[in-house]
Amino acid sequence: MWVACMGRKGGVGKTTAALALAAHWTRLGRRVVLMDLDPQGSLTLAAGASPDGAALADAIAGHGAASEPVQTTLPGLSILTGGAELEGITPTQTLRSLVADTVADVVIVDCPPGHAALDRLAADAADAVLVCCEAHRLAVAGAARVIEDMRRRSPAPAVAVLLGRMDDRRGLDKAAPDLLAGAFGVPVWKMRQDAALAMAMNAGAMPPASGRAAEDAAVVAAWIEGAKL
Amino acid sequence: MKRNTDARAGLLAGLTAGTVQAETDKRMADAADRGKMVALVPAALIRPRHGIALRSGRPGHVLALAENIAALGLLSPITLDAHNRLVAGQHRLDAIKLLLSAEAPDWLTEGLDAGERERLAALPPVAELPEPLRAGMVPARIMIGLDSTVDAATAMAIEAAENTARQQYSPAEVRNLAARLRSAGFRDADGRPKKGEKALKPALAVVMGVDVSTVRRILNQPKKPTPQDEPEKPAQVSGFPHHAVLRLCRALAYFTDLKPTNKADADVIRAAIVLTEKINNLS
Repeated sequence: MWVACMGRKGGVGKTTAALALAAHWTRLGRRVVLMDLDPQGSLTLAAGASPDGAALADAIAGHGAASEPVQTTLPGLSILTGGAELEGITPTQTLRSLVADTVADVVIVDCPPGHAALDRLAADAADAVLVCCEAHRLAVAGAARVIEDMRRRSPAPAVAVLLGRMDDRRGLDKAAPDLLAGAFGVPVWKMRQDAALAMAMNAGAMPPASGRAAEDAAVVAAWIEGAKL
Repeated sequence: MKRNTDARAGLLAGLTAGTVQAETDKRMADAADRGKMVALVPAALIRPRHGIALRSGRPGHVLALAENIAALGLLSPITLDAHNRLVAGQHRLDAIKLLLSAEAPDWLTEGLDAGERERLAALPPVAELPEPLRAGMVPARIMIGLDSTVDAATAMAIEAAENTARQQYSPAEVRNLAARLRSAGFRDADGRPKKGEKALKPALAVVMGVDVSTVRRILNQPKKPTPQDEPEKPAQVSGFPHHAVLRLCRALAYFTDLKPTNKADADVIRAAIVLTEKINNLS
């Protein structure tokens, strides 16, 4: 099962969502491989791996085979690091050709901000696309671009919006899921603000097993599995 | 209350703006797809170029390309029109066909000297080629909207542009390519290569589309020292402790990265390279 976290805009929680989902499935005993398509290497850094391995960029460009996923400092989680070379890449290989089905039950691809070509490369591979967003006009504009792009695809992956850093005490956050679900015409999930998750990511530690973010990740994961199956 | 209403309206305004931007995204994606669809095409299905080639066949160059492609894979895809007819990359295609066929064509063997014929005989069999060539597949950029038999002028313009546009390689990438060629049996020796010997710098020059002096200049640039540049575990050399071999390799690396200014320096550098190789072979 392949899941892509996209958003077009930066800072909307793509990497956070990727890690929270990875932690959820790893705890269920699934073999999870993270794939960092962001030239900034944020997911690589968050997972405690070294960002200077450009194996994925080379392999996508057709300059050799992808290396095996490397073990991160997070127990049970491995990663294929991308590298800064992803910035100007001309893809010649599909992502699915780079990871053997035998290696992973779930592959989670973290897409970069502002890079439509890499988004499309991930969408080619994805069973489900999570469009990461916030209850903010600029983030919604980015999400709309991704959703339009996904709608035109054939076959289209399952698409949902994931609203990050949500706080139900704020009126707009409370109203946003229904408002956007109606406007986008796709499921809208939310990941509530969770200080424990933020602290774990800062510390390079595994996202917490309980708490708001863990509960929300479980809901999103269930939708993805239902959408896929 | 009004503040909340305005904020909700703002979200919907963002959605409208994004949908409008998505139209531009689509136009750009369509344009990019037309120009840049890269696919794997079976070598047997690639049709010859229409009309006269801009450049004539060069057997020695095709042989050098074949050696490089066998070692590194095809770094730059060839270009085909919508009907799999070759638009640009005649030499690369000739080299791939040479690697995939059991016997070299007459026009090629007749144009090679004795040393080059030895190198021709030493080309690896298909089973040892990198993927996807091993499976007979060729990475190709396909010009979806182009029929080169109808629009010959565009096809020639594309070929001319490809022949003049060269990919820019960073010094690190050049060193990486050099390492891959060395591990594939290319030799670093200066001067004219011996008969049948695969020389590293001319091969790199062919890969990069530059002259040998440019390759030499890049390879001689001092490397920025980083932890990764330390000798890769040089060593379990029997009879010597690990730390001693490690320090020796670091010292040798200092000399191998020097830029020679006279023959004596060049001798030292060459000796350092040879010793490093010997140590690596011991471990």
